[in-house]
Amino acid sequence: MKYPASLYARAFTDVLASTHDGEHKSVVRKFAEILAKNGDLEHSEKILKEVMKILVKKEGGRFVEIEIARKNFAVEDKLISAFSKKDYVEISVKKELLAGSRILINSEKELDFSFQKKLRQLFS
Amino acid sequence: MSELLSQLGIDFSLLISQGVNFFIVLAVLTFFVYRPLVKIMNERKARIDFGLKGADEAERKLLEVDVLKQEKIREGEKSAFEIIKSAENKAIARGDEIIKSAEDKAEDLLKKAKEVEDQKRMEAFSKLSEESKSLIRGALAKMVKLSPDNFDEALIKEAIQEIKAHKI
Repeated sequence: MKYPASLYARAFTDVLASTHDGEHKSVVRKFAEILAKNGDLEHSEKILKEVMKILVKKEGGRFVEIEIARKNFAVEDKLISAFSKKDYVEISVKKELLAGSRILINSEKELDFSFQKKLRQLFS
Repeated sequence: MSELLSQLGIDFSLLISQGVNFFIVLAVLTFFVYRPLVKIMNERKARIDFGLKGADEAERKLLEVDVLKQEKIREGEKSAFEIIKSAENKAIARGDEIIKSAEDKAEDLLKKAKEVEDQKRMEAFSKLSEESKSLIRGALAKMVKLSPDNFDEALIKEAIQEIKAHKI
């Protein structure tokens, strides 16, 4: 990447904040052009994630990434309900967990309630 | 007197002439036979005495040499005995040293063998322990795959309780 994702995200959110709603579409298009020009379009998902973190933080919320072992809507709903409405919750499936979940808050705090962790702790 | 002599048949003039003859013969014999003979005999006696003296001296020296020989033999025997004794003692000491060294080496080998055995036993135990842990983990993982819902429910419940309890 030419610039770190967090830097792209900060620049984008700063520009968004400094323009009114009518210009947001053009800002997004230009931002995409810049990414393409820098050859960083393939990292757009990562940059978007960083943008979400900044926006959520601005709103007073937290960016929460949850990994669960298998797709289960009931479980997803339970987990989302444990957080505030201001928080942005992203859920992904990771089979290696075997069961349970792993929660990462603002890419800083990690809470591991997975069966994989229990197995690791067993006999250690 | 002359009658006596004539009755005896002794002629005085003959007697005197025979007497003179006798003394002449005696003188001649003394000078030419007796004295040289005595000289020769004395010389012979001196040679014999010298020879006997030499023999005595030789015998005495032989005795001395014999004594010296016996002394040297005794000394040699004593020296040989001491050398043999010393060699024997050294051999015994060396033998003891070799035996002790062999015993020490054997002890070392036994100790090392024991250490190797202990090490192998520890390694085998460690390997067995790791394999057991791996098997148990594998079995538990398979158990979870067979009925994941129960495990999921319990763990998710724990997560939510933790989040709410600590207001994370």
